[in-house]
Amino acid sequence: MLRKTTLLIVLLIVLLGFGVTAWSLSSHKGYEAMSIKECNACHESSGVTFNHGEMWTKEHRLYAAKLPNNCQDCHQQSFCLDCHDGGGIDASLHLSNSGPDYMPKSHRTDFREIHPIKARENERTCYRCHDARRFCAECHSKFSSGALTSESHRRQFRDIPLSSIGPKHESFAPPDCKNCHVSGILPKHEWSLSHAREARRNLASCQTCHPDGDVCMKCHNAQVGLKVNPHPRNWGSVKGRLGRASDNRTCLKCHAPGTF
Amino acid sequence: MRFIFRKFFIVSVVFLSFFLVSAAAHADPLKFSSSTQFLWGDDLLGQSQTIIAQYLRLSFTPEGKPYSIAGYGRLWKDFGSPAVRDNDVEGRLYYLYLDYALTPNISTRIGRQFTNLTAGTSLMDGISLDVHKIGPVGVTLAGGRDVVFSLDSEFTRNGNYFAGVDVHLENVKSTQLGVSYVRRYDESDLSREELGMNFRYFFKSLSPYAELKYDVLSEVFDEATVGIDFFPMSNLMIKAEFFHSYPTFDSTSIYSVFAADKYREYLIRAEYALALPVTLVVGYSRQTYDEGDNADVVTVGARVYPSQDLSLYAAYDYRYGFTGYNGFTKELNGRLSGFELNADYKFKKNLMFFAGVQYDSYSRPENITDTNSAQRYWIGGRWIATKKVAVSVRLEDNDNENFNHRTLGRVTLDWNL
Repeated sequence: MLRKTTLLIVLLIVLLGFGVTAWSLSSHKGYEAMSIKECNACHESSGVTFNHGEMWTKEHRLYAAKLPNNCQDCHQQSFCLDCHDGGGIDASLHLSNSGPDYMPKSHRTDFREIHPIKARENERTCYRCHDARRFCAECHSKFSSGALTSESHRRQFRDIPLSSIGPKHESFAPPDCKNCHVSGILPKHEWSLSHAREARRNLASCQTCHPDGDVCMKCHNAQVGLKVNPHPRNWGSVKGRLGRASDNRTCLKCHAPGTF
Repeated sequence: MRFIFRKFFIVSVVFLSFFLVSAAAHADPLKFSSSTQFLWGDDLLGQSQTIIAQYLRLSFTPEGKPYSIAGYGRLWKDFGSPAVRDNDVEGRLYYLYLDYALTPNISTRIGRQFTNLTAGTSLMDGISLDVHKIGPVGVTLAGGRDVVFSLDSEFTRNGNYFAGVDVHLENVKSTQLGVSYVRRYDESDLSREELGMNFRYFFKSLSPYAELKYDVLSEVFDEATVGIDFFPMSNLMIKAEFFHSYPTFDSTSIYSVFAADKYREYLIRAEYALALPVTLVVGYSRQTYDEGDNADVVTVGARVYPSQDLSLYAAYDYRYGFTGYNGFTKELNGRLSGFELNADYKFKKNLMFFAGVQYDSYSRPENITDTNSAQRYWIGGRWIATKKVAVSVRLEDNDNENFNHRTLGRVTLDWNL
């Protein structure tokens, strides 16, 4: 991946050697009161296509993150924060609200029911505005886990019986795991397969209800429980850097000092 | 800590209000906006909410002086019995900063501010410095205390800091290029270290672009966008774009040690924009996940201006593909299909009306019962009473699997000085 991206960067930079057009960033102060539909009248005649099209909500990220930009010629910072942090001093009458917070147009109809589908697309779209550990967790904590969409949560681990007539897992404590699951070996329960798939696809969604990962660490732990290894394939090359960055405080959540 | 910042916020707002009231009568450089809002209806769990919110926004830009001040914040209280949100007096200070031009090419911003670099974004209490025209290069430096808003209040732990630098080309015709580096600290431990790069080039009717983010701690490109815009005519754009993301987490979070899957999106879209009367957009994207699962998304939209006073908007999108997992049926795919129609009508110079409808039909593999649907309808009006005062009213009704009729309403009194 790194090699491919480096090659792409080089190719793009090589393009700089070709042709020059008249484009350059220009001030738009004085046009801030103009409506979007009027912009193209000037842009067409100057041969520069304007960029506030119908998909601008999705596209503006790339323009806003580059410096310098001329967003501030027409917009105050409140324009950004009203969408990203729920403000509404200039809210459009087409926008709905959730409590005192205004929602951008991407939050269509009953977003409480639709957001699990949207979150399975590009999850980063959610976290550009919402902090998973705080915003999402605070809201999810008000709803019961049985009402959540995930298959692994509809039939939870604690509900799985040991056999057709045996007791459910809820009657056992974490220290009992090793009595049946020797060396942390898990049977091919549907739960264990589906929760792993769901977690890998959208790990941040786990964080929305379990911000500290306490539930995960019952099994994914080097000292207690099933001791299931959760690390990615490149773990050997990144663990030192991540450990040093956090002063090993993340490692120590699961490992004994000096054992990792 | 939360108590202290709430008090800080309230004091800031009260102080600014006195400052504004005393200065407003004879201060042209002062611009001031107030919005007093009354919002009511049911919350997401069906409990009543009755909210009064007060927004204040100001800017003070004295002519011929090298400094200016800008601020924006909100106070609110829910007098109902909400089940999801708090009903204490709450506040959000979005920003309050001083801009100071040290020289024509060096300026600084001090206070709470929104900072957006390719490598990372922050709402921070701190300082930023812009240096322009170092040859063809400009530099932006930013650093301060990272501010996080939770559902109702502000949540920031001790030792949460943001620091970033962006080096970019300035005033180079046809080329935008910038690289940035960001560090974040969580309780004084390094939680994030990111490199960013953005690029756009204009070559006649082609404009290739890229934005890359590299997570230094996890040694992965956690986000990459590469694309090209093609303008066969100045009012027609055809876009082809590739997006890649790999979830990474703060090093101080337990989630940073877990394996995750890549997500990729291939998009092509055409947008045809006539100044009047029609703008059309059509797009298709293919979303792919590890292990071969994927989804297809089709988007169609139009904006039409039948007259100078009327604007109509329509958008439809359809998504089918990976949406979850049903352990009983082994089904992975789900569907989301919906549209929005809305209209703005300027009845008089000082009186406007708004109306719209949204509809979604969706199915998820976990829900084996049936397809669900949701609808939202709204109407609203805005009366500009004087040059400085305007009143808006909006009513909304929702019909979905959780509510037969969930009504929401709001009235706002806006005052600009």
